[in-house]
Amino acid sequence: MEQSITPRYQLTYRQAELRLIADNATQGQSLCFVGIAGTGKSNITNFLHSDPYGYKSHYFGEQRARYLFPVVDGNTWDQTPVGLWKIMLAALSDVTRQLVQPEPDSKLLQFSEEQKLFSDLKVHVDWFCQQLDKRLIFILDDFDKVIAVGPLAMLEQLNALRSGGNRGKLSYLLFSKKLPHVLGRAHPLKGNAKFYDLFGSHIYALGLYNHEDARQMLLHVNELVGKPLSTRELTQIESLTGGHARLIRLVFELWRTARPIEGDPILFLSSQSDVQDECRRILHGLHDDEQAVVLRMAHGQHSVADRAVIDHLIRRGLVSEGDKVEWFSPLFGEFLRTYKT
Amino acid sequence: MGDWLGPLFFIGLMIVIIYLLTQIKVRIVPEEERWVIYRLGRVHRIVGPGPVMLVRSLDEVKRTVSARDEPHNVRVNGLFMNGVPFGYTLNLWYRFDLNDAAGTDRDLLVNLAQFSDEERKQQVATKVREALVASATVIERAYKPPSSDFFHKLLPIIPGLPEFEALFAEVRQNLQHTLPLVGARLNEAHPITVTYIHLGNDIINSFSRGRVAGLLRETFPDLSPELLLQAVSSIEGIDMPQQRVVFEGGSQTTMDFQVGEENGAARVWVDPRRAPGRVTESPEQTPEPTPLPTTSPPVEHLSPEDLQVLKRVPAA
Repeated sequence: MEQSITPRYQLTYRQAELRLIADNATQGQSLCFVGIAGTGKSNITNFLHSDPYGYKSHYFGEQRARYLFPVVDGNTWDQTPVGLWKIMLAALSDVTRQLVQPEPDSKLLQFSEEQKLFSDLKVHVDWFCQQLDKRLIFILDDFDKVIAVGPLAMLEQLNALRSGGNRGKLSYLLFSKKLPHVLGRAHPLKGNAKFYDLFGSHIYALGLYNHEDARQMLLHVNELVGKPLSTRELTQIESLTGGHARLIRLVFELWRTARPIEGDPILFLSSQSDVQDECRRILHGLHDDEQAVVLRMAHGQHSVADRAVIDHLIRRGLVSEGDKVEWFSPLFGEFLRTYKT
Repeated sequence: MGDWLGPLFFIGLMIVIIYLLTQIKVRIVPEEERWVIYRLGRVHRIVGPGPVMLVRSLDEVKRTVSARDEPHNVRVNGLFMNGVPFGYTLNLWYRFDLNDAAGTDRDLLVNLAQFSDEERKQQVATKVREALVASATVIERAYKPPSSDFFHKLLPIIPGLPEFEALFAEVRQNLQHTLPLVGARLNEAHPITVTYIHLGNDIINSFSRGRVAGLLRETFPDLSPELLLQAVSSIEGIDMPQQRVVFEGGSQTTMDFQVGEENGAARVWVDPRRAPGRVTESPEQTPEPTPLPTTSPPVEHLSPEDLQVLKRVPAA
């Protein structure tokens, strides 16, 4: 008999972020989330793209089928405009497989493969937005490299896709680890790119899981493997990982196999190479200035001059507000304490 | 009495050897770094990559030098071509290698080792500026603008044109000799690319993209459409046209690619005398020019404005 297990997401999963996404999507407004590495961006993507538990109607009501979320993974980009149009077309095909597809226009002659692909993409976008009256929200996931490398002309083409009647029906949901205008400073992006103007005043910090979301994830993964850990142990893991999705997964696996019941679990877990690698990934995913302040804070050497960066790190969920420095996770705190450049 | 001297000497020697061994430490320098070692307050040597031995009480790792061969953006303002001011943002590949740059010149090595990478990048920017100034002067002497308007005076600085190629051949040659003076080596496998040309607003306003393209076409009738677009798009402040030619008539149709101006907007059209097919315009789709070489963002600090961009997600 198939045993039903705790779902991966509750209806309240990331509800502040998803409400914001839904409100913006209905207005055809693009937005950007900046989150530290491993903070659970893929889960939001999965939630919107696949909607495994049918929760999308909670945000989009009866109109949920109108909203399509093609996912474009920036990590698979080959650093050419041709490559970007290819992965965007593939993402669009993935979510529109069940829909009537547009006829190719045989009268169009293109100068190059790049133009042909961009034209195909535009034809498809026009078709779904205008003929089928769908709302397309391209999820541009892990787009740090795409924004940094450009070129600007390619990024501006993303804005051009909205032209010709798609404004209000095509928008972008951008996920990055660093501030997009800082990533794109070489172009420069801010004040110079219409693509940036699409989301420039809607850039939000993607924080870590709250208690309910972290708890739900732990209950789910624990049940998937036959509930080997007790409620008390799950609570301990939650407090050690501070709602960081990838750390939750890692520590759960380590706990399941090694059970650090005796001794100090912080010392044990923070000495594990997987945990160290993840903490290093979080640290190195920050801007150089953020890294410098984080390391100064870890050694009690920060000063008033660091205040603006510290406030920024608080908004990112890396550290708590208060007189005493308190990292989101004691494991990350221990990693920083012993970190050597 | 004499029987004690031998063992005493041996014990003393052992103590000295053990002391010396405790004073030596081995450190590993990563592949992409070089370490500047100071001994008793003076530059001693530059080491790496791999294991290095340091004397605890004497040696100090004063600073690290990035040895990565990577692209850097350099902005140079205040240049002149035929009396018209302009600026460039260039992208060039170089690496810092102090030992290689100094060779056997110990004094130069000591001098180079005293600067941080950031200071060295500023020195490189100065050398790039010097090279551009010197090379622009050479080109200016050889090039006589056919008319006195801004456009013709500035032609040698526009990428893709013969005068530009000559200008940058000079710049490259110059940098090969001058960059080692500040501890850098130019990577000759990568071209020096212009990512932006900066012009004053008064100059930008004096010729719009249509006029620039028209003048380019007139001056260089054999210039390909791709080069034409690349040349125009490299000038900061001039927006690229958002048009693409769409035409019917099969593959035999010939086309003349021209850019003009109408009501402030660029137009692209097919010459009806040469293209028998019906011509329509598809607005706001861009004929993609050959993309400019990619750029890596320069290392820059977060400003207070940068730090205010990020908002908290409003509570649901």
